[in-house]
Amino acid sequence: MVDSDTLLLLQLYWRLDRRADGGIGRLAWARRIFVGLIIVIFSATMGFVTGVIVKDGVLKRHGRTWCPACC
Amino acid sequence: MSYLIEAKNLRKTYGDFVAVDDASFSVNPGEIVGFLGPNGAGKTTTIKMLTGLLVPDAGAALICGLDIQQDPIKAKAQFAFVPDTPNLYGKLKAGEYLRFMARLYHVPTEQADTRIRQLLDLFELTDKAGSYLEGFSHGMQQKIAITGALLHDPKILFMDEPTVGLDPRSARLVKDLLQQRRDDGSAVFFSTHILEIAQNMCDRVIIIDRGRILADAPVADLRRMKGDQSLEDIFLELTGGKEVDEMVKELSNGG
Repeated sequence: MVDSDTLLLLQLYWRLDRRADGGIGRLAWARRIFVGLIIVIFSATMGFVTGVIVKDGVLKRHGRTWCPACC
Repeated sequence: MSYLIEAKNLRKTYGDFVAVDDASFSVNPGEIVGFLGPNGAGKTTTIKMLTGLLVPDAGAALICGLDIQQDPIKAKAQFAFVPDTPNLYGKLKAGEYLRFMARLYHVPTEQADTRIRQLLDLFELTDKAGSYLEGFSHGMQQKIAITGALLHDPKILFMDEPTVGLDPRSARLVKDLLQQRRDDGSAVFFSTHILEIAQNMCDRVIIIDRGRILADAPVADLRRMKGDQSLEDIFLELTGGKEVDEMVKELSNGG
């Protein structure tokens, strides 16, 4: 089961990646789907997602709560 | 009385360098506390330990009685942190970022929309809600960061240099907002280099230097203890700034 935080992360990742340089085109779509699947699999099997690169580095999650200060 | 913030013998080292050494203090509900210190004194490290961004080598940080390391989720839901440099997602629109923040803190959509509208209106950014954050000035980004921090109505507000980059009107607005939060029973804990702000706004100041807490008292009490000196003079006396003053005078006299 994917939790609501993970869905929020997915939405954020999708938006940022689509709007970033190189975010348009088939390759970009494939990348987003691949990363999205990894996020979903991790979330569904382990219950949390860490170390997902969304912007210039790592977007951290502390436990199951996002930390806006890191973002 | 139950404290909203409690630092218990916090210690943090980076290699041989002791950034924070045995720092203990507490903050009550309905209190604005200024955290003062020269550059490299340990302010940001302390705030990062209090907010769970750094793990202390020793001691504990309690938020509303919850240990930030032991119970991070519940503890983090109680506060908001506005860093000195707003690090927002440039590729998000202001409105999208604020709704994202509201969802992070599980604020009901209707309540979030109302609050976003009110705060954007207050900061005169309503017409910028549909603009990308990458096009915002530092001050505008700071206002968006503050708006995002206030959405879930936190019991505690941590701020690092809250008025840096803000125009006088916005700085005044932020000061008013902080005082309003204090009056509503929240606690505000902020670091600043602007001693005038600390003197005018804070119920209490904590002065830190070289990682150690040098003073923790209401401004009026501090001034009384130090023969009615200004907060600036007290700060310089405690942190050794007066020696620098004298050196500068000697240098300018050709000494």
